[in-house]
Amino acid sequence: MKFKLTDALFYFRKGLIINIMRTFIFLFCTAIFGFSPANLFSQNVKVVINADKTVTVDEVFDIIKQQTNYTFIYQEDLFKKLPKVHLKKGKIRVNELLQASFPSKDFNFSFTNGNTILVKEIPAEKVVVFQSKSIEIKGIVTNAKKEPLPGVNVKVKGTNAVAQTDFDGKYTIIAPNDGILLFTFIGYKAEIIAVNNRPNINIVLAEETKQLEGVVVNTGVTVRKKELITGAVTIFRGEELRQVSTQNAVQALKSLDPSFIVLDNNLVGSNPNVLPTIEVRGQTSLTSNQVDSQFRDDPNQPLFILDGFPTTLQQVVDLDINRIASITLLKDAASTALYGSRSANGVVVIETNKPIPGKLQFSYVYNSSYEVADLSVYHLMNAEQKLEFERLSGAFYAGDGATPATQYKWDQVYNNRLADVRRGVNTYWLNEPIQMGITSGHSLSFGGGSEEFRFNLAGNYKTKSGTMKGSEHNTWGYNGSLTYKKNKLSFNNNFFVSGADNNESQYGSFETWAKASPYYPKYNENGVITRYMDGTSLPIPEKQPIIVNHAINPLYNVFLPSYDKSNDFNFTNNFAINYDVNSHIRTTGAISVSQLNTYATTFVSPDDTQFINNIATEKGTYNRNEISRKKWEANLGGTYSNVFNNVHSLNYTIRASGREAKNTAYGTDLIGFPSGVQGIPEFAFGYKPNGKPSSLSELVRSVDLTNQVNYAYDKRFLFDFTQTMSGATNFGTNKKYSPYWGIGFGWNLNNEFKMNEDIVNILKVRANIGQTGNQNLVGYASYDVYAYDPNTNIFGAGLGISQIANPNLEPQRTKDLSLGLDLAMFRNRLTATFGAYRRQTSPQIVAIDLAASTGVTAYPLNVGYLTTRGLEIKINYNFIYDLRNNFIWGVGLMSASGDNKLGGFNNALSSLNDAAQKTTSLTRYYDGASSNDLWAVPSLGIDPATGREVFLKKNGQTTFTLDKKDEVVMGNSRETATGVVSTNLAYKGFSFGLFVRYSFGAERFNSALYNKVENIAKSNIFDNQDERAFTDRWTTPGQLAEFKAIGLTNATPISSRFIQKDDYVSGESIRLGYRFTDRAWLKRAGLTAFGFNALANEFFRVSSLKAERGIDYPFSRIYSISLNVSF
Amino acid sequence: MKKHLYKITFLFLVSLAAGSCSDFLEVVPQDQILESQTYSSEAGVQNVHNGLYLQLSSRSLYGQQLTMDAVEILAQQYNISGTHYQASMATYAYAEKTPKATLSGIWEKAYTTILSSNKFLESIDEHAGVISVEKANLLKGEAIAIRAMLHFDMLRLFGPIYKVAPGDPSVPYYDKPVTTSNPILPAKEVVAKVLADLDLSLSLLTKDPILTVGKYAASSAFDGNPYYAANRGQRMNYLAVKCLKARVLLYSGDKVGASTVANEVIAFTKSNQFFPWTPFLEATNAANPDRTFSSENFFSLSDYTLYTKQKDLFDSSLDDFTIYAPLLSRLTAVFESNDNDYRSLPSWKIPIVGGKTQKTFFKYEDVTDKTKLFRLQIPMLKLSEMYLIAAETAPVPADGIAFLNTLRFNRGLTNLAATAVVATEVTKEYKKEFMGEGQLFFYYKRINSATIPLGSAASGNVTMGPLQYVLPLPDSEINFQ
Repeated sequence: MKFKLTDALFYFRKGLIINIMRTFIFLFCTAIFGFSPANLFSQNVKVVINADKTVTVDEVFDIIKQQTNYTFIYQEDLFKKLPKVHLKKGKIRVNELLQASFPSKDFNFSFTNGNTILVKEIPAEKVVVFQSKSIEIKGIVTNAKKEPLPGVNVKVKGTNAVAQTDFDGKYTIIAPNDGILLFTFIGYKAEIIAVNNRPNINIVLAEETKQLEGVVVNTGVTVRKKELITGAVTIFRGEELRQVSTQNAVQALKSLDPSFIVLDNNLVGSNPNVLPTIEVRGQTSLTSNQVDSQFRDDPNQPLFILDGFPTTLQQVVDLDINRIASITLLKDAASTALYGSRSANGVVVIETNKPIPGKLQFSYVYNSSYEVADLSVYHLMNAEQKLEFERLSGAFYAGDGATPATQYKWDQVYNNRLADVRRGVNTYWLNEPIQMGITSGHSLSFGGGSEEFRFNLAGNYKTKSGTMKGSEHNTWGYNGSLTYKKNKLSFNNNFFVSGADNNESQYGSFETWAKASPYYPKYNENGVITRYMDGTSLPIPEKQPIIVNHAINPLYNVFLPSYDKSNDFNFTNNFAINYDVNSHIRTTGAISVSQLNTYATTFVSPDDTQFINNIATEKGTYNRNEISRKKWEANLGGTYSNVFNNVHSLNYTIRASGREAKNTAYGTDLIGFPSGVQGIPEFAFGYKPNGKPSSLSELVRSVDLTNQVNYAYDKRFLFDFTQTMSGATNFGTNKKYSPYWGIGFGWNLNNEFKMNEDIVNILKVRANIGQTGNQNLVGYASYDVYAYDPNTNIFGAGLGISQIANPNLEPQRTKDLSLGLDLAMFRNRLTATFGAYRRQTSPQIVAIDLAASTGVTAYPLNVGYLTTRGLEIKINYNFIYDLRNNFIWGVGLMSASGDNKLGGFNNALSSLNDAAQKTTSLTRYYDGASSNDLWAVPSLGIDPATGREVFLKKNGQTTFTLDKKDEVVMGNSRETATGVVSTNLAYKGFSFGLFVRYSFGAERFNSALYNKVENIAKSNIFDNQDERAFTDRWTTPGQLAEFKAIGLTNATPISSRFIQKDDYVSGESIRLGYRFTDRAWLKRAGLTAFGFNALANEFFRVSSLKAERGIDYPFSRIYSISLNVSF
Repeated sequence: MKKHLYKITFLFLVSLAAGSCSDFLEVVPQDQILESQTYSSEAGVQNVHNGLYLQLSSRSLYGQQLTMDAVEILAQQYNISGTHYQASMATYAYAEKTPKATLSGIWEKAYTTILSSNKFLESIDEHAGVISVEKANLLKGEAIAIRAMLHFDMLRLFGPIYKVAPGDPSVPYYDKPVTTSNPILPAKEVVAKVLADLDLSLSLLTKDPILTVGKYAASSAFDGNPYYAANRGQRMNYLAVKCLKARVLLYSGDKVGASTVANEVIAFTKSNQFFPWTPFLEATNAANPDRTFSSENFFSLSDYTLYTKQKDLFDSSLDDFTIYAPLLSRLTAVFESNDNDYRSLPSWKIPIVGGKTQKTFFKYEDVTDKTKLFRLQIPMLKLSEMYLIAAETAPVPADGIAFLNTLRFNRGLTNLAATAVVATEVTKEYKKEFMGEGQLFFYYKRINSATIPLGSAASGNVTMGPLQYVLPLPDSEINFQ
């Protein structure tokens, strides 16, 4: 086809031509409708008055009627009150005659077709206004299937009056009889209805083409429709979270999303003062060798964004769950790249409740939880078993060559204990530090205001005691937000003050209590707690010929005034401005300032048994640490969004942000307190000898410049591109800036193939790739740092080099590939999301020890890579979905699996491997292996003949002596699959939910077997042990036993024998709830809604692994109730 | 207009944000001192330089292990019985935990100090102009000598028996701050590098005030700044480097060279009064004995923690499992039953407290008069060693005897018989002269003595060989080599 120049010219001229045409049409229309119609001529018809006379208005009409062909329509007697009209002789136009006949301000007249003149009385203007009066309007809002819609917003246009429909779709609102009502509901098209004096208005809302179309994703930077994004993103409403946990958002998220993993910490159990370890889609960094400081977070922890600004895990855990409006999880590069160097571990975006306009609304929630320690995992010996175990272990054998007199003394100790056991002493020490943990929380919020100015105030107070006596975590928070909106400008200010008081249990580590031997009574015969469990209070002199247990009675220290407590105080203020330049361009700016102070004090009473051998002035310690973190962040950005030709939708966002964190810490140690005093520093004898106050201060800054483009074609093809340039002080001086990006593609197949909406609602495939970063690593690695030598000499002070710079250190970069599929079918009865990902973090930043002769240790190097792969699935099916009767029953399944692989390290991590071999760690770092692999020498079990362990060497030979070189991978601590099976039922006001976690395919190093069945050194024989140390160990030749001979007290090396499968099923959450609305008694009480929930968390656990869980603090089962009142 | 105002404000803020980025990320750590801060002033440079000496006097180096502790135990100077906590060190069981930790501590600290010297040498050139060239040369000369001395002592500890196998692998040599490990060199290459460094150092130290004013006095050179002009005796000065060079030459078997250098030093001391022999009255003063013969020391380390170390190691209140003290009979044998030796009486006494029956070590005990200049010093390089080197290397035995007699005279001893064997007498003097100074073990290793007297028994010897003389490199080194 030939292309003519004129075509092109025409194209460019098109705009001009259209303008000409428009002008023409305008002129044409003006010509047609703008000119007055023919009846104007009739008005100019003149009537003849033959002589001067005075007549009534009615007579005037008669004259007109007679002389023209006009007729009049008017009310009879309308003109009776009017004065008479004086007519002069001559000709007069009809309209002039009429105007003269009656005062025009009271009447008007019009000429209509058919030559009729209409005369009306003009009502007084004031009357017009007063005529429109307020009426109460009632009605039902339903969808197209006549099902009632609860929660629809009803609003009177131009006023502040709002209402919501109840469960039956009913609403009541006061509105002017000629007002306009606005009905809005997520997923439905808004409806505007004029009242027209109707007291009853029933409305059918039309569904938007797809329900989920209305769901928006708030990334903390942009707000976009979920339908149009290409990243792996999940959104949870606050309500969904609260149905799973009354405790905190972290606990709720782990039951709701497969990729949000909270790692079990076997050491700290359910200690309320210890933060959880969280990962989203696995790890990106090696944890054991990070270059970190006191202030840096776990390098695998996701970034938390609270109302647009980064926050700490502690804040998230302490955040009142009732304040949360929604949480958005961003998991892959396309969705997180806008956070640049902080995005590699995913982002958790939390939005709190925003002020909504309307009359003042109050809501109050009361939560109460009861925690019960799970002691069923402890399998300790009873008194009889314990004593027999000691005897079999040779604890009462004085040794070869001991004199009979010595042996006699040892026998005496045994016999005394035996007598006690026979007397029935069998103390259960474990319950001593245990209590029922009680949490009681109140949260109150109220808010309202006009469209222009709104506010919301919320406060919460929660006391929480753990399952160990004295362990407490009490939090409070106060929050106020104000919004002012005028035309194109809006301001928002949100401030948040919160605090926490923490107390560690004076009962110390739970392990102490598990170690106490059951044949000792808690008190002596006089009911006194003695310093030692054997009833004595004086230390035995050294070099005693009898080695007997002289263990400290753990109860003794409990009642001393020792403490370990801390408190936090946080203040945050966020201020934001939005300015809408026009309907397509919006600019935003925000600034956040916050400060967090923590004071921690520890006091150990001078009377504590640990100081028994110290001199008087060195008994008792006091330690105080003060930490302050100040930070600010500011950002500035703009968004352009437009839809061209109804099919090309384009979004462009640019944002610049900068932040600074300044952290300082100061700590001092005091030593020596007079006996019996409280832990007050005034009483101290002095500072710790040669002790230096600890001090730290650091300043970290970073900046980001982000560009994001989103394009969608006809809601079918989606394209996302995000690019962020991040700069940070953390990285090398030569590598201050580094780029991060994400590109995503999506295809809405349901729109593409116009699928039947009754069957497929959403079918979207998406893929994205990108590069994200991690800033939780490395401090001033790019500087040569000097420090003062503690000594001086004749020349004075001196500086020593404390750190050699690696100016070329690059930030860790994670290459992230993510695939996903979203499916919704049968009008959203079935929803499913599938995700697959592969993340490679390269180079890793590892602090490596170089050859000692270089003089450099822990040198931060870029070396190696870590590749994480995984799959995740989330499916939900509603068997019953009857909205009319409010009856819903659904079942959900979610599952995640993943593992990682190391590579490119060569021998760089050998120092880590050596260090690991010296501890009981089973983690090794070798190329091609996973960092979750458990390495150990394969064990063939216990030789029945000798009771010794037989190992398998790499060359296939068997041996009694373990060689660490024979280590191979004997398991993996990551689950093959873990997830949650859930069911939710709602019927009328009643609701029920059950979440059960399953996990299989993981192996664990069973430390209970290693430390409390075997490896019981001579000095530990008198501690209580796992009962298997007594029942399952080898005693006689020929016996097939799982554990080595009972008399062997030498150290057992770690072998595959202690690695066991850990498959388990646990009840994560179960809930029963009921909500009353629209009841007469509620109205009488002035309430709009009242609800209550009963919840249990971690309420059961069945595991293939018989191991002690919660070494220092037991795990607990949590039962809670919550009451919810709105008025 | 209003619209424009917003646009202008927006653009202004964006450009402000963008423009300030480069400075915004220039963050200076607040609780740490950066090189740029340090090298911005003369005082800063001096502090870094003095840091080298503080490191030398740390416990892992000459403050303890390389003078009075580990190397003296290896030389069997103390009675380390089987129950003493240092028993494994005294029995040369280097694979045991305690020696391993001690030796890797020595190794690591030595090379950290070498790194510090190298870093100093690099940085002072990078920040040229902060101090004058003349001063910089003096400081650089010292730093190079410190680097050489540490390498040499690592060679003496961990290297082969030089006399037997000078070509065997020994230790790595670092003359630049690097973050990759240098190869382990044959011993003779290390010696060559040490000697080269010493010569380089000497060329930089030609204006050393010690040559004109002695060890304490302040010269008017270097603007009279005491950091450069005073107390030169407690710095790696020109004479100290000369002595070290003589020591290195002798260790490498170059007797002629060693002899020349030692005689140069001796000649210098004869030409002026800066380094007199310590008079009897000062050495044995009842209240303030100068037990280290301080006037004869060319270089001694200033160590303000010296008297705590004396307490920690030698105090008579320590129990038998921790104290460092020889058996009385062994000590008597060393001093050939001669109590007139100045080196014996003030330094070795039966303590009044602690219930000890043997003599304990008092060399590093504080004196009554706290104004004494010789306090808080550990001898590093001294005149007597030059006499011993001169004696050992003298081409004619009679000359050797003459040197020895000079030394003996100044220690309160009579002249040797003309028939005395120089080598035997030199060994005896090494035993007496360097107690608590860490040279004896290296002497034994240098002459490859097949046996040495056992410290934990009244009689008998330990058989010495490569297993005893050649210490294994620590794991922190071999794991990476």
